[in-house]
Amino acid sequence: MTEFSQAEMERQLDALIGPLGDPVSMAVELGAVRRMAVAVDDFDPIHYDEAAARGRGFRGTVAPWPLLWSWFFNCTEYHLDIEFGKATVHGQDEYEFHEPLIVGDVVTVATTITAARLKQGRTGPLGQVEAERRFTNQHGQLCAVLKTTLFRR
Amino acid sequence: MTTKCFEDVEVGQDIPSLFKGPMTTAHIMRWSAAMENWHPMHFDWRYATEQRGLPDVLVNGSWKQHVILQLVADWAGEAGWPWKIRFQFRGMNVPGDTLEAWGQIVAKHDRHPFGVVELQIGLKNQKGDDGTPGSASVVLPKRNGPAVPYPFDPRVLGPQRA
Repeated sequence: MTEFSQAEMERQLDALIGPLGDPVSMAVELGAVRRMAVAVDDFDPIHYDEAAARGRGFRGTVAPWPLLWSWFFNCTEYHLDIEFGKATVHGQDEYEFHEPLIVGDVVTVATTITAARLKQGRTGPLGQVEAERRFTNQHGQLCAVLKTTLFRR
Repeated sequence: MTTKCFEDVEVGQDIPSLFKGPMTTAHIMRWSAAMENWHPMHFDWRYATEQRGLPDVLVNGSWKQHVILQLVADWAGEAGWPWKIRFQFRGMNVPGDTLEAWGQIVAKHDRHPFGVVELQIGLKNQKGDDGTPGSASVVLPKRNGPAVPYPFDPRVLGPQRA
């Protein structure tokens, strides 16, 4: 396995900072929303029934917030070009919730690597990478901000 | 339904827990399908245990996040707004685990005309191991104050009062 100097590891991490891929858009679909709510036994009617959701003041049927991850798995680039280390692990997520995702919306996600630094972990060098994903709907409203911390070791 | 107000809650109070499980592979597959996440560590036992050295297939981290979100949203009620939530992934959960999403109020901030309540939150298994510790910020209305607006804009929060 190639050994990398501290300077080279830091260079690889510095090179990550900035936009990650292009903004991508995906529709919020009723079937996906219902499947997600059922999958966690969340039977709040706002996730299933438009009239119930509107009765509670929402624009329409409300997606459970973790549907945000569907953008991650389906249409965003998330490969990090790091040569050192063997594995990338998911350390922490932080969400801010604003305008809910509503069935029929088209939501766009823009991803930025906001920080990347080399730390010393218990077993050796540890790369810490922080990404921010901003989700906006077709009306230009901010829906959510998702900040993710990954560790490369 | 009684509206929960900022004045009704106290630091140190536990919020009602939410219980899930025992977890099965069906739970995992149902969530993986809903999320369209086909990472084999969630459904391929041989891959998970032999290639990744894991104890079993793993419960999805995003599923665990939703359970905790559900806990916080249920507690906030229709008049409150779960504004921020943070999780760390410190432990794995596998089929057979019974999970308890829990929360405790650790701080209150008067952000007139609303209040912000800080919660310590987590997800414990039947052994008491908490693999998803975190925190949450919930906006509540004040008694006789305005409703928390929808959609929520944090600019409606006033400066923090002592």
